[in-house]
Amino acid sequence: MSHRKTRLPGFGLSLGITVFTLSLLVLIPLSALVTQSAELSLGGMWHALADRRVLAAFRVSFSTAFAAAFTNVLLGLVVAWVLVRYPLPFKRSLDALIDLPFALPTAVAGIVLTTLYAPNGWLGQFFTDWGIRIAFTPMGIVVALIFIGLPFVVRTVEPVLQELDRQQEEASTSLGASRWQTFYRVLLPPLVPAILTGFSLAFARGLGEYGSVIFIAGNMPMKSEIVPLLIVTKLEQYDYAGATVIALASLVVAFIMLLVVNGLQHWTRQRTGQD
Amino acid sequence: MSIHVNQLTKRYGNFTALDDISLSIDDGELVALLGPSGCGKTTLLRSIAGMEFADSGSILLEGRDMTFEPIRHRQVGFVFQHYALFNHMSVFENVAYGLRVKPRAQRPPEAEIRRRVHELLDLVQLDWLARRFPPQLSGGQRQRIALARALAVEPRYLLLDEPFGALDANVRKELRGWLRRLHEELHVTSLFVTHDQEEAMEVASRIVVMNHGRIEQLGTPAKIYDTPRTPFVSTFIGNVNVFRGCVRNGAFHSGSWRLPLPRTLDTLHLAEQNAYIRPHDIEILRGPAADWQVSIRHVQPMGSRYHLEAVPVADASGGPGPETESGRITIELTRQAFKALALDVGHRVGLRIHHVHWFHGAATPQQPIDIPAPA
Amino acid sequence: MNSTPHRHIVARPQADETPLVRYLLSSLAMAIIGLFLILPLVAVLVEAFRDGWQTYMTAITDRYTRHAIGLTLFAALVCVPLNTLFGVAAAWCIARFEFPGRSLLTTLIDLPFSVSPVIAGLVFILIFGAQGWFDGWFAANGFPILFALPGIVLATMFVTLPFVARELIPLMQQQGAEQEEAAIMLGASPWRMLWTITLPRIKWGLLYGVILCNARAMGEFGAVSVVSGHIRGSTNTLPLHVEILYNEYQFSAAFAVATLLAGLAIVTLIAKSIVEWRQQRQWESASS
Repeated sequence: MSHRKTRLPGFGLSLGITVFTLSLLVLIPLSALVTQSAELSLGGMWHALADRRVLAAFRVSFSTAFAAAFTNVLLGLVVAWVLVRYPLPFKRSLDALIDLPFALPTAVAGIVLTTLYAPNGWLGQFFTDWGIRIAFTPMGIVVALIFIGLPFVVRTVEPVLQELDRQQEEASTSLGASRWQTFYRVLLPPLVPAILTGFSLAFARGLGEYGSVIFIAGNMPMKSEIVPLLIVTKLEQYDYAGATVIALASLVVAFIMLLVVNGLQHWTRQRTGQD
Repeated sequence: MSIHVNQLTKRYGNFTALDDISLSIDDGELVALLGPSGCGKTTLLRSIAGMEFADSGSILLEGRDMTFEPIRHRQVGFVFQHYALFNHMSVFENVAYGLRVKPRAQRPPEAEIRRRVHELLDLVQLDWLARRFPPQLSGGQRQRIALARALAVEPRYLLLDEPFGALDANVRKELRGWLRRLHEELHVTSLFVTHDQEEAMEVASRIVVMNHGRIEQLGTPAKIYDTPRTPFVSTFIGNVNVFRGCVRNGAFHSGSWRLPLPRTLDTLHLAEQNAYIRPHDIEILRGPAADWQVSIRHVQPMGSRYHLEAVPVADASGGPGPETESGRITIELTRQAFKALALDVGHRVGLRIHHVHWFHGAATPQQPIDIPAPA
Repeated sequence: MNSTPHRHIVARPQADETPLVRYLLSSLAMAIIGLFLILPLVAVLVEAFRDGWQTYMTAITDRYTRHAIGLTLFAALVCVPLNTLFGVAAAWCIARFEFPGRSLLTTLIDLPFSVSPVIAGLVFILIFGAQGWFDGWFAANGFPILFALPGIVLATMFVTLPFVARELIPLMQQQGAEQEEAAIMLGASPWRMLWTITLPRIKWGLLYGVILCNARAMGEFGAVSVVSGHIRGSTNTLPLHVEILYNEYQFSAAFAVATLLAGLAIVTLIAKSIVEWRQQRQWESASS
């Protein structure tokens, strides 16, 4: 049986509700993914995955999610830094606005970003002058994923930045370090775990993102087709087995990525003694 | 309203929090559970309250087995270490809570609830705070409100978990005396947990000393101080000098030092025997009359008393003097004695021991020995 | 907690960036926020009214739009209370009790966040679809789940499941069990304890989770898109309606409907800020 901390009431009932809901809504449905792919032979699975179009979709999804998450680290760091440290007009409102990508339905984000970055769009026209196309290319996917992922980095870095002890900076300055040296050697190291967390959250979200991407991506097979869209396409062609195998593969890959990032995070935390 | 605990055992994984605890508390007693942190005292208190399941053993309240009885039927008032006041309710509502949640049939009418709450707030002398909220109170005030809240349901037992643990030293001292007087007034059977031996000595009528999930000793404060049963109790309650040595030929030997024992112990032989000597059982003598000499290294005035730290001086035959666990000997003098002797750091003085106790192994009770003054 | 009242008096010119760097960084941050967050919001409004007020009103009072609004509200109305109940139950057993599998349970609760919404829709097709576990039994017996309301609700519940629990678990762990223990000690029934102690203490965290849960429930696109079948006037939620209008090149109409969802986002952000502020105040008063 379970050993409880206390004799507070409601353990059985609350655990029952939790396990029941979780099983019904998450565990059983996700296990359907496994059992349905198991109907395919290993060769069949391999065949479904080794398809050129599937591999291309994985390549597009990973490279764009990575590029967006990486960009988000840079942008997010600047935004978090300024929001925490500098006086700004309308700071509270701007800070609240950071969460817009969480609150704005992805379909809306998708159509408005497409309109902005289309070759003749508000922003796209300037790029067109330079001969750069953003919407309907992988660049467009990256733009959409930057929008979706920005709050992850800002919101994980912000609290750590707030907690940083300013006396350490002063100590560093008093020991003769330049501002850049202080940032690089004193401020950045404790931020690294938060940055990694923000990166992994943005990256994971980017891999699975659908709504905001499909409008701007152009969805050209082999070029700008992402994995979630390919799953939908297979479903629309009633290729359930194909869709299931791709879904399972992307889940496994995402899971491995998360493990790696978690390990990396654990390692940096230990190295910087932040456990 | 007696409490009986029979062979209570509780484990968390490999850790034994309570190891076969048996304990009886009589009606109206004020008992302290004393021990270092992690000794199981809080687990025992929570088990009696019903907040914790024991693995085996039983708890009897007033002779009735309550081991599996729900908390509500135990009529226990519990004061939490960090008070656990409801921050979203006023002080008044906090105290009234226990009355308001009674089943409809037993719930007193509103006017009665008001009367009772104000009566209790008067009792803890905080009626003027009735409309405030807990975060607006000082630590001492929160503690008293927590006590009033626990008393509102007229519990038969009052259990307090480190009641003064989170308070400033002076507030703590004041509340100790207040709790003792309150107990004299109400006479509800009370049990409180503390790690502060001074607090236990000052407040409790009896003390339960615990260590590693076991009861080391149970008795009145005087009894526990004067005749500790185990080395742990001896060192945990009050200060003590531990001398390493052995007993043979009618004397205790430590290093080159020899302490003659009463005649009755002439035949006693104990290899590797520690002797425990309280700082105030050592007398300081000027001149050559003493058995051995020490050099004073530090003088610490403690108000009415003085603490001296001394180290043994090589004796005439070149021996190193007695061996103590800390390498130093602590001596406690009254202010008058200290002034009369005109002592200072660096002085060499003689010592005479008045009282020694020791333990034959961990389990057997101690043997106190009074050293008679030479004629 | 006000440990350093003199903090603002101490000058530390050397420990800060030069004014130029500060100016550049501030401008850069403003540019990022302006370009990525404010401009899209403005663009939604401008595009919505590009063809005039009349077109806008026609688009949002259209029969199909009204139906989509109703469906979206209904799905949220079912999902949010159920997920709130789940969140409170999950937080109670995880934050208040020690049991084997507790950390596994915590991980599982977060799982829907790391699954693509498309996969969240797909799994329900695998279960209820024509070739799925139930082999379309529900649909054949007059109770269709896919391409119908139940499927939309299921998919929405899947993607919004973690919101409330994730807010409450750390909050309740940090609060500790003492006040609830005190209530039980004073004779409160479990039900009474829940209503007088637990819920009042977690109300702001709970509200915060509910706001986020609601925003996602109303705005979910991927998962719902897979299971809904896009039947206009039947299984079309607001986000799906935006997609259909957009794909039919009715851009102004699409953006008009999108203003409703953008409005929802703004209301969500404002509500969230207010709750954050209240929570902060409660926390400060409790720890003073």
